[in-house]
Amino acid sequence: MTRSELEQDQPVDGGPPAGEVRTHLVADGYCLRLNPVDGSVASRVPAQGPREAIAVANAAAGAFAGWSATAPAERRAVLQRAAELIPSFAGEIHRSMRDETGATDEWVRFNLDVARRHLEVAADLTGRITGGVRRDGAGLSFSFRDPVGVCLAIAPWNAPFVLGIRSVATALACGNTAVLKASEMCPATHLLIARLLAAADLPEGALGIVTHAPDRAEDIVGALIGHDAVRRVNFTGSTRAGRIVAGLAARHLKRCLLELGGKAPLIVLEDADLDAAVEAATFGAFFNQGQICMATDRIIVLEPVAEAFVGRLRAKAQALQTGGIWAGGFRLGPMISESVAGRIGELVADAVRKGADLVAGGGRRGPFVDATVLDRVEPGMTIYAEECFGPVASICRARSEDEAIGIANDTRYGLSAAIFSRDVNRALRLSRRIECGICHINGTTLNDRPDLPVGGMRDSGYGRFGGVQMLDEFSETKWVDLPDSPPGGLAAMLPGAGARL
Amino acid sequence: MRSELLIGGVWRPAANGASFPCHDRTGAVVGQAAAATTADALAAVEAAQVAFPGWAATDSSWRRGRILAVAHALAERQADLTDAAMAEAGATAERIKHDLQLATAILQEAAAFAAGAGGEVIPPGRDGRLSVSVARPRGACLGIAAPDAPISLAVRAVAMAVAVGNTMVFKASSRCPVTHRLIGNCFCDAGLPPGVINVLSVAPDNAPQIIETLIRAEEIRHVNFTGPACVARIIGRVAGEALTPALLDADGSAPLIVLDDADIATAVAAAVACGFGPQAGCRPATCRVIVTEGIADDFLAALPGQLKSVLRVGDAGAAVREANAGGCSPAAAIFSRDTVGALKLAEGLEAVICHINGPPLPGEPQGGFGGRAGIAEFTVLRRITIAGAAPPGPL
Repeated sequence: MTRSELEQDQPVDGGPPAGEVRTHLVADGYCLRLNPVDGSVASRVPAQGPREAIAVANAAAGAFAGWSATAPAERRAVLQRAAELIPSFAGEIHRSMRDETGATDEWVRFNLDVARRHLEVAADLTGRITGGVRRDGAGLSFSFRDPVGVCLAIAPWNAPFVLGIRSVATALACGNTAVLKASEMCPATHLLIARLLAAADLPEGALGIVTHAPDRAEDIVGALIGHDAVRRVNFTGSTRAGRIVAGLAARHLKRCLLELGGKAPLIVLEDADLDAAVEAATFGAFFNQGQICMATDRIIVLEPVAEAFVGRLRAKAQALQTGGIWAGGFRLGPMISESVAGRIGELVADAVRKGADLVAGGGRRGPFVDATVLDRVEPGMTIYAEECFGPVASICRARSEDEAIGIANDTRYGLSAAIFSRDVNRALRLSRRIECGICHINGTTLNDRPDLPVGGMRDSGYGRFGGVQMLDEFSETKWVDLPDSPPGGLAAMLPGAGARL
Repeated sequence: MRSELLIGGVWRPAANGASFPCHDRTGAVVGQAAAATTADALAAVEAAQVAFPGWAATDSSWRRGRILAVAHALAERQADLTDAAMAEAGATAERIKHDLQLATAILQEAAAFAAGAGGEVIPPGRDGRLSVSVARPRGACLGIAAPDAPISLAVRAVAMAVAVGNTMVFKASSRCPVTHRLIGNCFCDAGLPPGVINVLSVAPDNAPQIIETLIRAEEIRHVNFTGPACVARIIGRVAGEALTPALLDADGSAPLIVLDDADIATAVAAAVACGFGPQAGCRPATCRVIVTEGIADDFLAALPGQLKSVLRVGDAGAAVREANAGGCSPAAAIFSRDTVGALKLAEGLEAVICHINGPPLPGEPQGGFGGRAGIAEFTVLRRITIAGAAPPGPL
């Protein structure tokens, strides 16, 4: 692993390469995150290293005994209070997200609203952490669901508040303590999560935040995963970084939950409500400039409606002027960095060079990229296979339903998907054939629900955030056996000796 | 103190203007409550029925917020509730405080389960048929609560049912109509739409007839009742005739079993705690002490004078037979140092809850009204199949 592999962007070490824009400054033990739009200082946080990270984990380990002993109702109260306190932190969260990641107002509101729901659902889960009981002829068996210890959470910058909250809320609900490794792209936003929970009376140490300079990510994550008190790891971010985290976790035999990249297909069948499909495609491809793991990354349209669909999507994309004009309920903001914007430009240029039609957009200014529509995207183009993570709607035309499913599954990723058809039975049948963790019928691929299982397969990772499935991710099940009478020596325990197994 | 009827979001007197006096424990008149007529009862049922489709269609997260708001409203009205409950139910301020805490916990749990009514997807066969079961609220429900724990039992009769999307006709106890009216106020304060909860106070003479009218009303889809076993039996019969499911939580005495190997001090403390008067639990439990011969003399010697009435039995098996002789009891207790043996006996005890080495209190505030049991109670599973919507395999 190189120093930069844990983050998607190019960190700096002694200055950016020629022609690139600086994203961070490190000085006097502090790391300064620079605003992606104007280069001003967005935040200043301690530049911690493995030693400090270990101290944070030790504090979380120290807080574990107290927090794990709390009654579910006490944990419920803390999480519910945190949900109710979000409005009083909204101003600060807004400023941090805007300055550190260039988030638009609408993206901030979306983060606040979904984060509140995550906290509420985690609060509610506290009452459902039940084990089981079995009775047989020889005794009672209990399965207890116990907190596991310190959970390491690694959250990304793209939906910084909601994914930061999601990475720790259920862990805390289950009686664990947590260490959140903040993204170096938005450390102040992630620090606000600790402030919010502290204001909600979460005990000191139960949630620690580690902030760091870009080049320390590897050392810090390695130290934390290797820390004895850290028992579970959850990671949301790129597939490349997720593979590294999973490898480290495997080396230490620590269970991890990974929600990684995606290349969500949106299939438009010939009987679709085209206006609804265009709306969903616009929202899914362009909201937060496509910097979402569930972003609509490939639009697979059946030939009979392709011309009409492309025409309407072009109009939508053109209406989304970059840099601040409102359209369709949201507007485009900047990419996380200028170098990322440059990469999007290269992806588009590669596709056009290999035969794709540039239907709309294609331009960029600094970190801003136009809402771009590419038609006739085909295998062999880089953007056909790689996660785009930018405001580009790539259209693939298919001649049949089977071909559409073939294209949808022609990817290493399997997170979210969508199917548009007026024949819901047909859409339901097809949903079973797409290799993905989430499929929306006549809806956008971008849909986070804290009460439903969210996660992927293949290169999109494993495990599920959301829903009661999360209890397994954040608790340990212990079988406690209580025989009615003591066994009569070793012989009686052996199979065939009449003893229970 | 006065109380009116809450029907369709409006507080109003009985249709014929009738009212009945509310008494305190000494019999003194402390207030007047509207005496609902049959017409009022049917109007309440209709209001609940009309409100049902809209309420059932609300987002569970919004219902969750409303139910939590009821808990806030309880806190806001704590002073009034305490005054009313002390006057009507004769409870101490401390008991009312505990009752309020229980009610708050019940509301929080119900709020947590507002989204809990789910369903199942059944694996498809080869016929391409998609088969699901969806848990849906039942409709207009009837709740009837005893005055023993005047706040928490009323809240329990309503909270989970409403949280999962039902609407409610709540029959207030004629012994604490003002307290129950205030609980209706709390649901109104919380912004529940009109008709989601309706509150009827009924004069004691009229209660049997009105309750029967309510249960037999075609729109009522579920009945819950907390109170005396003799009344529960009648309600169960009428509900049975109407083919309306009923959740009946009947009073009964709680067996307290003391076995030969019990720690006498612990057992005596529990017997004393339970022996007289209302308890700290959801409801008072009068206990029947059953003691095995080997410890009976020592146990009796340690008991305070007023508690000398205990039943002696030969052994643990006889104790369980005696305990079960009265039918299912709301709570039970076994005192023994042999946890494994006590566990086994507890499994055979016909009690809603049995405590090992703890007083026989109805410990879980929600009982069958809460948690997964409550969801199953207040929802109905709609099994639905869709032809042609599922292939036999995923790929």
